Amino acid sequence: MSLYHEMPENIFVTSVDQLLGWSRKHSLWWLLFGLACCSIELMHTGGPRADIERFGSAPRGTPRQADLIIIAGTLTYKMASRLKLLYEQMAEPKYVISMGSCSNCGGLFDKAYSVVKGVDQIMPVDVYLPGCPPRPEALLEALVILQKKIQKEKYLRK
Amino acid sequence: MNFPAAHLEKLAKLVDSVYNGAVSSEIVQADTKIPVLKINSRDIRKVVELVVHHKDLGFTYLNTISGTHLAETREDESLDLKGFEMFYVFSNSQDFSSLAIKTTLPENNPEIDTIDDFSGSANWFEREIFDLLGVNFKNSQDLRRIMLPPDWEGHPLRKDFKEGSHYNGIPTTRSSELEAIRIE
Amino acid sequence: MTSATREKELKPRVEITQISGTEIEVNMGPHHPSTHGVIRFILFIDGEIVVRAVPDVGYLHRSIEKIAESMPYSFFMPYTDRVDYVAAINCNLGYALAIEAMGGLEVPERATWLRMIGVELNRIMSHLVGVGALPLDLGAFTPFVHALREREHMMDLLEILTGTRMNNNYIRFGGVCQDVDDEFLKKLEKYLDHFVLFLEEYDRLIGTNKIFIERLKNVGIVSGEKALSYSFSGPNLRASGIGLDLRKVDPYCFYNDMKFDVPVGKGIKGTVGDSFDRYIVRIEEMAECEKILRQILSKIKEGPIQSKVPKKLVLPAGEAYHHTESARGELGYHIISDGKSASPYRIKIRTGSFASMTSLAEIFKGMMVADVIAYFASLDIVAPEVDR
Repeated sequence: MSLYHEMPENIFVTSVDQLLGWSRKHSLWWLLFGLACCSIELMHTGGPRADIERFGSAPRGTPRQADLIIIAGTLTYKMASRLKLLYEQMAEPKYVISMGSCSNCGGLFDKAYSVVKGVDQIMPVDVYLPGCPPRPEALLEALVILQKKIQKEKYLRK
Repeated sequence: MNFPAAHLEKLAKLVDSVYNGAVSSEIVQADTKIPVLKINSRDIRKVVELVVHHKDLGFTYLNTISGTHLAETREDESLDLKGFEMFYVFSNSQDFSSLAIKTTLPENNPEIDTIDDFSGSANWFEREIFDLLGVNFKNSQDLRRIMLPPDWEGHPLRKDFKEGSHYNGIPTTRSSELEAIRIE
Repeated sequence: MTSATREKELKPRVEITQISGTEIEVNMGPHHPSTHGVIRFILFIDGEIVVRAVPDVGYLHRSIEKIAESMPYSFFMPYTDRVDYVAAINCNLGYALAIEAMGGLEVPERATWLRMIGVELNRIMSHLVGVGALPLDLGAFTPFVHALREREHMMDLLEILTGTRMNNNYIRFGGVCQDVDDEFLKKLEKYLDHFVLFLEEYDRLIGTNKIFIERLKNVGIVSGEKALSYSFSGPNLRASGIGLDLRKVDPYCFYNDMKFDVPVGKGIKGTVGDSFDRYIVRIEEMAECEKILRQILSKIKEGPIQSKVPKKLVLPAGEAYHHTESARGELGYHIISDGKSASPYRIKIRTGSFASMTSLAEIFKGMMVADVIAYFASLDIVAPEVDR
């Protein structure tokens, strides 16, 4: 008789990819980085009511320890090169949530001369989150969507 | 705060008497309740020195410096000209009554003397105007771009500012998908 | 404290002349957890002492003033929210009052009361960010979470009042966008009872903390004279001992009828105008806001909330400079109208944070690097107010 039949409650059969995805999605550390208005809602998402750490998502001060960058706010041309630098400093695999209308497409500042019209013009984006600014609940939803995406990824078999 | 009328006349007399006609002063009451002292741009330092240091005035607090590019004709004929308009707001540090000083600069090569030795904050206000409007402040201690990157070309708050199609390889416009599916 | 010990404390802990004389250039920001948004300093340090500092702003310059020139007056209202997202209704109010003064528009009484409720609630929320982020920058995380918890309660109230949590876009020319029922007013009153207790608890939690006091007292002293020279306004100016509040000296709305004190810095832990004074002035000001809110609740009456305003608003030719007391000091709108078009010819926004930033280069000189953070955090600067 195999071990599996002896202790059915304690053993799960899974693939390595599934296991990696499961463990990666529950330890998405995000970079403590706010640009504009959305950073206040980002703070509130980390705050007592929304509490993003329930989802295994902890803020990190340095890009080298982060898996996820949340672009919270308006990106200007002056800031664009700095953001690119931060993104490049993050270790692979890395994910991007574009939070708020400004970083999705320029939003209210569509006619501005100094604003990048969408952060996807300088870096890839995984989840677009609309709103000006989105509520903390919405950001949690975006995180859950990203987690689903990570779970589906075949990380070992490319 | 409402500026007493008697105060105003005194100020006009003071400006006239000290500079003996060198200052083309004219005082108008704006909608703001703030009196506006219109002067010739070459006398800016003299007038600022008067309003800041004179013992009867003492407008030591600089609220803001604002600049405007006048490119189109405006209905108010006193402003019907091309060029730049500078608007300095000073306040009295005792009762916080305010006074505005207004002057105009020519369209080509706008230049005005700096007032950054009268107030610690004037330099930043001037830098902002230099950056966004391209007004040159003579003898300024530190005149660099403040808001825009150093390699930026042009002054965006001028009415004739044209945006390029790209900045450092980033396109400045975004094609809207909503535009394509709009129902006529 | 005797004058001799005070003098000893005021002296920099290391004499500048003793240092090696080699400068190291250290970049701080624009992404830095304690710069509250995207502000950058280039610090030239010698050992632990800052020899020279160059503040660099503009990383959030969103061209709000240029955008204003391309749209009708009323369309610009949402942009004023984003000038200072922590105190959005304050910015709405300054803009609306300036336009109403220029166009001679009437505001119904109830609308003014509702505006004042929004403004004062927002001022408390803004100061909570200020006093919450200050210990956070000094290394204490817990007080910040307490402040966020209270902000959540107030955001719930604002949601009933305005419809959104932040960037409220609440005020319209000649009124406000929506009315509230009596239930909201009761809720607000009940919340204020709770808030008084919270404020007292919060001040006891960090205001008496020895480390917190040591980190802030006698750090970043701005004398009254200097504060005026740097065009400080709002709580920062009052912390330097100058009791200037535009709600008192140039009253708007119904602030004339309100009874409230203007807290000024007294140097209770060190010197007048040090970083601790800037903290305590904000705490005291929140208590004053609470007093004002209670007075509003006792005086508010039923009535219309919107007066008749032409759909296409064209202001007479001319200009106005109108200032109000925002959470971060004097918020001035310089508006020029050409009298023909329905959009402004020019809008210049004067903000408190921009003026406060002008002091950095000089105050940072001779400071320890850790004190740079303490001074900067105590100023309570919000990046979009600096850059607009």
